[in-house]
Amino acid sequence: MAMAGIREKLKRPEYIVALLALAFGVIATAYSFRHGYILAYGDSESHLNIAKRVISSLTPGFAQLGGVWLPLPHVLMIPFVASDRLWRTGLAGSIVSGLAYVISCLYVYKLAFRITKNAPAGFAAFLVFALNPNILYMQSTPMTELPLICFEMLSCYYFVRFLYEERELESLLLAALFGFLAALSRYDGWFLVGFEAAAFVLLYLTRKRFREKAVGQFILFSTLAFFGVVLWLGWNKIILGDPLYFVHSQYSAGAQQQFFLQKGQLQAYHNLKMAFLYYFVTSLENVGGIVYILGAVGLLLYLARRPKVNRLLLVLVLGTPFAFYVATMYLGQSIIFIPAITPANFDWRLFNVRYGIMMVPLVSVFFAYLFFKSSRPVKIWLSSMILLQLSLFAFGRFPIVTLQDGIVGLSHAKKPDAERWLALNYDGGLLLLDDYARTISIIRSNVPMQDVIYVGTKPYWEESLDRPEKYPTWIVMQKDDEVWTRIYQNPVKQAELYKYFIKVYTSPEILIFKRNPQVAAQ
Amino acid sequence: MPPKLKVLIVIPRRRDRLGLSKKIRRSLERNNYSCEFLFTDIRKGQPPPESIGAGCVVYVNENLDKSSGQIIFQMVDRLAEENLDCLYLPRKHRLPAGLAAGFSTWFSRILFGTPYVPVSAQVVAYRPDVAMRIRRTMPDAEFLIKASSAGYRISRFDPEDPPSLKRETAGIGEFVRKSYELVRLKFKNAEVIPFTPEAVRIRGRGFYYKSNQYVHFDGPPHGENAFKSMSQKQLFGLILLAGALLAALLVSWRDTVVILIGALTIAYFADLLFNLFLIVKSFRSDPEIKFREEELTGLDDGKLPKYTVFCPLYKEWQVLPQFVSSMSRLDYPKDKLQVLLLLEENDRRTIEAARACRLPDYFQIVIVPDSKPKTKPKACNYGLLYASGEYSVIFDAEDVPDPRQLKKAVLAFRKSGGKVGCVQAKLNFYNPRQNILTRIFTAEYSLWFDLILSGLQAIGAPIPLGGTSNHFRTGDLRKFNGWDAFNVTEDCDLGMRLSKAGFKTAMMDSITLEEANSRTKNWLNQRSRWVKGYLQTYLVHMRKPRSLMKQWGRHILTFQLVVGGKIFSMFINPAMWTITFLYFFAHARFGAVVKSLFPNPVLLYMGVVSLIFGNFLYLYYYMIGSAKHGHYDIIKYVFLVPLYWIGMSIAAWLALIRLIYVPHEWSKTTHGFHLFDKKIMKQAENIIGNTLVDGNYVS
Repeated sequence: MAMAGIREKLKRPEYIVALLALAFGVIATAYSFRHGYILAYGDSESHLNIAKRVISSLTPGFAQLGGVWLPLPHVLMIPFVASDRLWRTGLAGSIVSGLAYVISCLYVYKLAFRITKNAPAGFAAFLVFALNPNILYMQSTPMTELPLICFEMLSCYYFVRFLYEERELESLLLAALFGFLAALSRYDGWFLVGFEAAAFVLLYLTRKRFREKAVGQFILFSTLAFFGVVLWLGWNKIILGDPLYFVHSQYSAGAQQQFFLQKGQLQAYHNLKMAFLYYFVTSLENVGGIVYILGAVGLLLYLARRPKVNRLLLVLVLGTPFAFYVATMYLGQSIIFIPAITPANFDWRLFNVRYGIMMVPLVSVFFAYLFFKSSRPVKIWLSSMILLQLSLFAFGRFPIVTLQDGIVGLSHAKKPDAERWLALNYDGGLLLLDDYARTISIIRSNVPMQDVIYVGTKPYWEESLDRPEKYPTWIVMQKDDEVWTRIYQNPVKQAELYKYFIKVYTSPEILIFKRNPQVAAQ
Repeated sequence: MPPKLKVLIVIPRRRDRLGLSKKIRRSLERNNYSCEFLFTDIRKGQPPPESIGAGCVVYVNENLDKSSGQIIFQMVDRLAEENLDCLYLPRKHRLPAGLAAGFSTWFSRILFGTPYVPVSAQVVAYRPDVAMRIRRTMPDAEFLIKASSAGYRISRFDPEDPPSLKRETAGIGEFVRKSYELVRLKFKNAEVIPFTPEAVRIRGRGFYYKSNQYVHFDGPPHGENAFKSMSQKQLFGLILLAGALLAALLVSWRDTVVILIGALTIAYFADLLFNLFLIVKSFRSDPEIKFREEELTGLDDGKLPKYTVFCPLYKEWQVLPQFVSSMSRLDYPKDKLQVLLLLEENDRRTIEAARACRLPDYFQIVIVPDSKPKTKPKACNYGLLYASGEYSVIFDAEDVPDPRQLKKAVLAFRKSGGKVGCVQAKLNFYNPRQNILTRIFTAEYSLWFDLILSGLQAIGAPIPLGGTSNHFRTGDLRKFNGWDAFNVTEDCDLGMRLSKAGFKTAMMDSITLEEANSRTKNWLNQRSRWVKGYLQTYLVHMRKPRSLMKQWGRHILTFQLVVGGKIFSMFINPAMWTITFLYFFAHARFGAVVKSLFPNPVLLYMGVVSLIFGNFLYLYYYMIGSAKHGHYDIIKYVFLVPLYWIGMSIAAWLALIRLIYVPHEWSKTTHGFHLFDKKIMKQAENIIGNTLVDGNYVS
């Protein structure tokens, strides 16, 4: 009986979609693992380390989540980073992204099915999304894009269900709940909940009756959906003393863009046209040109039909990432370099192109709509277009930009020789390191996380910079990083450094010191 | 000539000297009384006079002189003639007169507060139905004090020829011993003395306690009702706990506070998860019994059972016409309807209003005799004696039930089978927008009835019934001994008792609209009664936790959270809010202190989650409840709910004080404020879809 039940369930399209997605995800992750791509991005390790530090650090606790990156993806990784092996291989992050990928696939299918009521169309959306190589690569990494896509898809799906008054209250609450989770995953999520809330305003304006109900629903939705934002502001205030720490901090995205601004390489800053163009090209390269155009046709076709308001709202919500990235590039809060439009004389021509994968769900859903509206021969043609697009990706005609960025772009993780040296020679003891400057990888240098003194281990960090001999056995510094600036460039501290430590590794950029066992600290 | 009366003489064997029993027998038989002797000590248990058919019992506590036969005959005669319950011959003392008088005054009047009972007697004659358990070494004193407490008619017998003093009479040593015994007697728990069968026949079921008479008509037996808030074991446990807490605080106040806060945090966290679980359950399974239109229209009126509606009213003459209108609009064959207006004997104004009202013939005015306790469940128990319907329901005087509710209830019982002991309709208000208080009250009711109760039903948990619109099979009600007349939330208690007996409570898709309390003081009064009742219910059902565990299994935890946790949190909330407030808004000064209360990081995180997510979620639940009920316009007022919670905490502390001092007092909620506001009347009529009061029933 039980087997028959399972067999029956497996025949349901949702289960087929989920199982296929799981298989695609596992294969892609295995590929990334084998080729060492899981930790290709410098940020990948940082995400893993944040999660790891909550449970394993000199000063463990949730305060390690910090105040710049939103916390939910890191919180989700905590159970997995508990295993040192999963942490060091990056698989702890791959598991979270992979699960998010499977759920996203399922909800891309469900959303496409919800608006077409057609399983093959839903399946077409699923294939466009699930087989997109940029999505497949990102789901194998600890990056936070897939958790965000997952919560965005869930929120959108329930929002659409709410718009069509299907289990209205429950759908509204679920849309708000997943919006809340999205808002705690990436800042894109803030835009999502903002757009969804704006949709209520539109509903209010277009309704002649039940306006009071729309106001109530708006409050019900916003209270939960924006609670994540309020929590984050409160967290920043309590832990870091400034509710807008994530904007004002030296580690914020905005502060980072200042470097490019000073060099005149922030093309989209206060230039709406460039901002639009950058995101358009990036999303197009992520999605794949053929499918992108066909998705756009599907979108126009979808908007041409009635009921217009609900359709417009769905497009608005699914298209949120476009607006978000255009707006943040315009405001100088984010940056993309992509070879197609970034001038050749810039230092870097590939950076943050992964932002473009946020448009894959929208294109998938509207590609499905086009598929649904097409005649049988056109459906066959559309299917062949998916295959063509995949072939172009597979044969390198269409580069997998997210992977390239991780390998050769500015997003890639540096792998200096010093970390290999340290991995071979580290024999225990506390290690002082400016982790924010990514001097070396903690993961690859085999140093246990609880032995690292970094900026988040106050007061160890401050005391070590003040009196290097007090805690660390090892000091790793990179030219111009915090340790370098405050110890090596300070003549008094430098003298102390050489008194208590021996320089054991030297390279043009990185110096490693080890405590001199013959000199005792005072 | 047959003997006038059979008398049972009880004499301790050691007292039967100098032919005392023979003298007594002779004297009584001479006067045409027959007698039996029992040579025992009354402390070993009172003799069963019924077994020998005695009409009077005489307890001879002390040897008398030769006139004893004559004295006993006179006492028996007087007892019969004056229809007294008890007659005693006071003891003589060797003490100086002043000391004896002081002794008597101190012990009888001051210590026991009874004007006519001496602390000692030589002979006690009493009617056989005066039954008390005597345990102490001073049987005469204990007997008389208890009889006095029980409200029996007691008189003193002063013979013309008093017996002379004997050797046994009291000296100083005896005086000291007796004093000690009497003080012990005072501090021994007073005893509940049930009415005799004769008294039950005349006055209804009841009992005496500390000279007060209580008539409750029905209800669970003592030990299972709320007459005493706590059992001796509970009281002992509480004192022990308080003592341990005090000792722990003295030894290490910081560690004690940390442990306490840790325990509270775990409890809060569990409650938070449980409520979330209930709300998800209520959405996922929607266990409410629903009805199709054809099911309702297809009911054959001729085959519908007779239905009894109980409506207890107290000082509610103003809402009477509204209630009569609501009842007259019930879609139920009127020949099968019995509406019992349960009016209190001392409430002349409502009685007059009811008599003046043009009541339809299916209404019946029942005057509930004036007695303690004066509660709604007592009135309902009395009403149960008159109920002739197969099914019964309680409506409050200001209720406006869905006209098809009775039919729905009949259908619900038929659909759900014999295991459902009660069908509960949802409650909401017809004046939700009267002011901010009524709006938040409405949100709270919507949350309770539309989400929490249906969640509880979904998991098969015991359901605390709502005060009105709970429907029963009348036979079941009788089987369960009706309501606990001493519990001021008898509905909650009955829900628990039903569940303990294996019955389920089902929610049905029908609404009764009530008047939301629109005045703060009135609301506070009502709320403190509810909290007091929840406290009573919790204490009553936790008297035997082990047997409760056997009956409920895991639902004993549900009970802790739904009844215990709900009230407990009201007491503790102000402290927790203060901690939260200090942590967030005075972080510089108190942040470290607050943090030191949570030395364990897991507890700290649980505490933070409970305080931040907990408070947020509870507030949000009110919004969901309002939305589920369709009160979208009320959602925005839910942001004010923290003020409402403060009110609830004040009410909780008030309830605790009232539980200690006036445990059975029913703080009456005043109804009918809406009747004087045309705007609110209009609002109510819009919601009901009809006028509130039918002009035909206005007297």
